[in-house]
Amino acid sequence: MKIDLKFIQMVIKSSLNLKNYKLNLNSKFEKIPKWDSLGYMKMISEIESRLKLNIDIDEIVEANTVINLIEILNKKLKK
Amino acid sequence: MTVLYRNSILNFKKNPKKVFFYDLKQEFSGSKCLILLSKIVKFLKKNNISTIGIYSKNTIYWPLWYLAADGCCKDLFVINSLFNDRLVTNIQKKYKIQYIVNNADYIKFNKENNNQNKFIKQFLNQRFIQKGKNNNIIFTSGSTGYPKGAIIPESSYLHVAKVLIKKMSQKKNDLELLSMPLDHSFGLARLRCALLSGCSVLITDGIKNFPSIYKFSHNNVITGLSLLPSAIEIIRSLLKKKVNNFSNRIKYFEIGSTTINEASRYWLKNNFKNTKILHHYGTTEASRSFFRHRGKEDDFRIPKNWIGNIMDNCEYMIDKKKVSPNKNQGELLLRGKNLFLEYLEKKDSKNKRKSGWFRTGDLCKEKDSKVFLIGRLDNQLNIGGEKIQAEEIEALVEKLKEVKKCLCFQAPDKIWINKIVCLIEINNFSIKKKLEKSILNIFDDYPNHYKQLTIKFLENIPTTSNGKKLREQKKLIQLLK
Repeated sequence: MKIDLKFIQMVIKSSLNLKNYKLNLNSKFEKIPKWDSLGYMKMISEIESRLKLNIDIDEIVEANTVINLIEILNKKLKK
Repeated sequence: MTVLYRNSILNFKKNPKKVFFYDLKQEFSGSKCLILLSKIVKFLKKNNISTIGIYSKNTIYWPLWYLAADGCCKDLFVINSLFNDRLVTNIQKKYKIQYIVNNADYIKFNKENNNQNKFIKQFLNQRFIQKGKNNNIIFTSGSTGYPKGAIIPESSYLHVAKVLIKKMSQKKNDLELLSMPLDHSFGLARLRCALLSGCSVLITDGIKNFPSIYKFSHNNVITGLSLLPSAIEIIRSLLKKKVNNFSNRIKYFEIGSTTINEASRYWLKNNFKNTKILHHYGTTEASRSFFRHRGKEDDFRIPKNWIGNIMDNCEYMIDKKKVSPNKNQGELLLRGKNLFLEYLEKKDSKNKRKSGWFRTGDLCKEKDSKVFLIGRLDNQLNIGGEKIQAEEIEALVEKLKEVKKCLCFQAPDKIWINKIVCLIEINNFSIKKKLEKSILNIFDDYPNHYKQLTIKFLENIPTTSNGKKLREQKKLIQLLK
């Protein structure tokens, strides 16, 4: 499976309960409406449950934008 | 007195290279703090500002405005950053606040370019300490959404800070994460402790960027934490197996005043073995009143609603007069050095402060000299003459994983005079019928008056501007129409 913008968009919409928000690859998470610590936690949990993997905090310290997160997840899935 | 101001100036002067304030992008050393502080003080003096309001989320500049106001102003209004602009304008007019600080001001002051040496010299030679009152006014929305300004005198907030520093053994070489809102009494009291102890702080706007905070802690050892139980849940889920990389170096940890679940308590006990953890009970009017140990000293045998041991120089009593039929319960009253002075509006103070006692509005019971919290007095529902605590129903319903939040209140009923209305916040409306059945099943074995439930599903339950559940019955009943 390859992670793309569509996947992240779906996860974020569901974890932040957003209806009509469009992300792009350079979107910064902190600029997303309703973005907060709970949303972050939900997003990570949702990714873990959909991809059936464990995400270590060290792996996501640089994940500030959508593209960063996609790259990190794709790298992780390749392993 | 302006103790925090004088103390901080001394610390900045003595330690010009030490970093006192960090955020995730920049840091302010003692000398930088003096430069910025001098600019703010100059601005306040030039414009003859003696009453100021800070209306801003946490930023690295927040403490500097706070200090400048402490040194130069009579009254400092700490305004909840979640209040809308209209409400803030009303507050400013009503209480004649001369100047409101917002984020824009922080940027403006940092960009100004001055001859620094000359500027600081002038600043340090000035005698600008404002004589007279030195109050902090913090707004509490309570359960009705109407903001009440609680006047906290310097003697009270300094007493609380001194007690906390001593209890936590907080030292000037500590570095504390200040992520909780500084416009609330919990975060603000932590800031005062940092300023009084002379330690460094990392200031963040919540923990929405927790992985970056974690990364920061690799290079700068965070030794102090102050978090609400909900934030503990979040860092627990993000840290997972890496918890010890973070927790091993934490010396002290203060937890804010809501209940904490058992899983988090065990997590703290198992992973913060070198940490002194105190969980406080408090209100805006008495920011710290009781403390109980968590972590390695947590006692799981005591019922979880125990609020802890009373704070130094504070006393309590349980007023059982107004509460019936349960004679073991009553309203918790507090008296002591940790209390606020009064509310800005005399009518608000009338029922809340009498003979030095502050009526907390919390329903408690006392057993074996221990005080246990039952709920808010205002949240007692009277169903067919029987009393039910709204929080009791809410806690039971919120145990269902499909329920995000539950808010209970009473509404008129033909048979029972009043019935219980449960507003349920959910994401998935397709499971409404199934969920309604599950909720009603919870009360199968309860007395009949618990079963008089009307359930309404909503995307969001109504909240106050502080984010608390709205408890104003009139407004809630309108939702049913």
